[in-house]
Amino acid sequence: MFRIPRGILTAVDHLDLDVYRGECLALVGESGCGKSVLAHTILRLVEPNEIIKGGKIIFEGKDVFSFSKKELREYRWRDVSIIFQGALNSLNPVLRVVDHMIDTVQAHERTKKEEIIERASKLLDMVRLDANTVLYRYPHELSGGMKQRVVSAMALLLKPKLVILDEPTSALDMLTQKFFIRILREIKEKTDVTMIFITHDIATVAEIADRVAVMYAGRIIEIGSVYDIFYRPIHPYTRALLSSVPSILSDVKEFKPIPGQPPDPVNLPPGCRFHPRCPYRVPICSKEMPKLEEAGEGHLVACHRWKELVKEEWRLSKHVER
Amino acid sequence: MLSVSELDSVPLIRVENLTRVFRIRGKKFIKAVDNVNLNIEEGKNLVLVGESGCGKSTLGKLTLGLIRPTSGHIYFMGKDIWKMTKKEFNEFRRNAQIVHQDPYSALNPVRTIFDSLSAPLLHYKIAKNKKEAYEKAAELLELVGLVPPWDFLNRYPSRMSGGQLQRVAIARAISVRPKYIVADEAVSMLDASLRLGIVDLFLDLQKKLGMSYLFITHDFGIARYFVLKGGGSMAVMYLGSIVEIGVGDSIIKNPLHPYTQVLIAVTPVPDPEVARRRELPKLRSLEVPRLTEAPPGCKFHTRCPYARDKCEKVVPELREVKGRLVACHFAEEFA
Repeated sequence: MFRIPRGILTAVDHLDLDVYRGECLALVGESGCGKSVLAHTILRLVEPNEIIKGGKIIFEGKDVFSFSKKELREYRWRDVSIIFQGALNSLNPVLRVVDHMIDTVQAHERTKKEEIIERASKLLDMVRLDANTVLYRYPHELSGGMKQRVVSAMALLLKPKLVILDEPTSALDMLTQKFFIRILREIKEKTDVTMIFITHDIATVAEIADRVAVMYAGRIIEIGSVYDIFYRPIHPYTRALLSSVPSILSDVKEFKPIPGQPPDPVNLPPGCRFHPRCPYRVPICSKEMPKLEEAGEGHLVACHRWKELVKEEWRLSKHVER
Repeated sequence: MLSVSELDSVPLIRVENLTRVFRIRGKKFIKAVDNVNLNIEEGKNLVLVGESGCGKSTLGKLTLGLIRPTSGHIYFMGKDIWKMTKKEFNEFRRNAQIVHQDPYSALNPVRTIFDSLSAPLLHYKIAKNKKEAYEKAAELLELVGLVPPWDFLNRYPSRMSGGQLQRVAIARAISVRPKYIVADEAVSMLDASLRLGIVDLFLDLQKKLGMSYLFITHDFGIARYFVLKGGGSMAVMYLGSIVEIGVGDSIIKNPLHPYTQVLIAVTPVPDPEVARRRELPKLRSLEVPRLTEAPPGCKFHTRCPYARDKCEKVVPELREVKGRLVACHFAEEFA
C-alpha cells in the first residue's frame, strides 16, 4: 500500500503467487493494477511512502524481508535481476557497453576483466549482437532495440535464477519486439533461468509465457497455463481483456472495448472489484470478494459465477488460420 | 465551369509529389517524406501504418499545413494550401485538426478542461460568449462520452486519466467542426484495453459529423479494426515512401510488398499455438538504415530477402498490381 495525499492507495492486496523454477510467468493487467509494484516488491524495492501491511515473499525457502543488508545485496542482481520499463534509457551515456558490464560484475564479485569480457561476449552473442563492436560502443551509438538487448545481456551477466522483465517490449518497434521475444524464448530454452514477464498487452505473451496470471485492482483474478488463458478463459475480465485487443486473425465484430474505467485504487469497490464493469454481475458480486478456486488442473479463477461461465464456449478461441 | 461530377471527384486532401527534407547537425539531411502522392476523399479514411521514424507523423503534419513542404503540393478541396490567401488559410486551419499521441501533454496543465475547450470555440466565433461556450463545451464532452459533463469542465488535466484526456483532446478537435482530422498514434499511449474505446469514438463521431480521418498507427490490429469498421484504405510507409496502398484490409489479407509481409509476420497474435509456430521473417538485416543514408534504388533492398540487382539501382514507383498500388519491382511474384 502507498500513502499518497488523497489517502491510502492499495496497489497489491492479499495476493498469493508461486513462481516455479525454469518457467516464464506472464503477469498481465491494465496500467495501475499493481503488477509493477508486485515485481518491485519481489526485489524488496520499497518506496519511502510504501507500507507493507502483511504477507511474505519467499525466495528458495527464505523470507526476503528478513534478509540482512549483505544478504539483500547478494539477492539483488545475483539471484534476481530486473529489466525495468524503458530500461534502454538506464545506460550511462558516458560509459561504453564494456564498462557497464565490468562495473556490474565487479560490484558483486572479484573477477578479471578478461573473464568478464568473455562472459559478456557470449551473452551479447546470445542476444544476437556482434560483441566485438557493440562492447566498445557508447549507448548513443546503438539503436533502441540494440540497447534493450544490451540491458538484457547485463541482467543475465551474474547468471541470476530469476529475471523480472517489466514491460520490456513497449519501447521497441514492432520488428524489434518480435525478434526480442524470440531471443528471450531461446535464452529460456538454453538456460534454466526463470522469468516473470510483465505487460499490459496480453497478445505479446502468447508466444513466450508458460503460465499467465491476470491481475485486476491488486489481485490475481485468474491464473493458468498460457493455453488455459488464451483458449479457455473463464473470468469475465480475462475474456474482456482478450476481446479488447484486436488481432489480425479474428473477425473484427468479436472485438470491443472494456466498458468503464479501472477502479480508483484509493477507493476500491466492495466485493468483486470487477463487478461495476462486469456484464455477468449478480447481487452477491458487490457484497462478497470471490476467492481463487480451482476450475481445472492449475487453472484458478476468482469469480462467483465461474461454474456457469466455464460451460459457455468462448468465441475468440476459434481463430481464422492464416 | 466544373460539372457536378467533376466537383465530386475533387478529393478533400490531395498530396502531390510531396517531399520534406530536414537538416540535422549542420550538414546532414533527412528525407522524412519522399515524393508521396495520395488522396483522401471527403468523409473517407486513410489508415497509415509504419514503424517509428518512417515519416508518418511528418506526412500527417504536412497535410495540416503545420510544416512547410520542401517540394510538392498539398491541396485542400482543390486549393493548394500554400497558395491560399490568409483568409482561406485560416479557414483551412479550422477545417484541418489533429489529435496527438500523448494526451498528457496535449492539454495545458494549468488550464481547466473548460478553458481548453472554450478557447477554439471563442476564437472561431462558434460561441458568442463564455456562457454559450460553456453550453457548447458541455455538449462536446457529452458527445465524447464524458458524462455528466459538468463533472469534468472545471477539472484540471492532472485529475483525469489518459483515456479521459484523449477524449477531451478529441472534443477540442471536433469543436470547430473540421472536415479533416489527423489522428497521430492517438491510441498508442493508452492502455491496450482502452484503445478500442477511443477508436470506436472516432468512428462514431464520423457517422455523426462526417469528417475524414488520416489515422496513423504502428499497430496492424488497430489499423485493421479501424478500416473494417470505418471503411477507407490502408497504406504502409517505409523510410519516407508509401510502399503499398489498398482498399480495406486487402493489404493485410494478401500483402504484395515484402516490407508489408514482414510487418504482418511480426504482428503479435493472441494465440499461443499460432504465435509459436509462426516463423520469423527472413531479413537480410535487422537494422533500419540510418535516415541520413537512405539506400539508393528501393529503400528496402538492404533488408529485403528477395532483393536483386535492379532493386539496388532503380527506385520502384507506386504502380497498380491486382487492384492496388505497390512500389516493388517484383510485386507480381507475390500476388
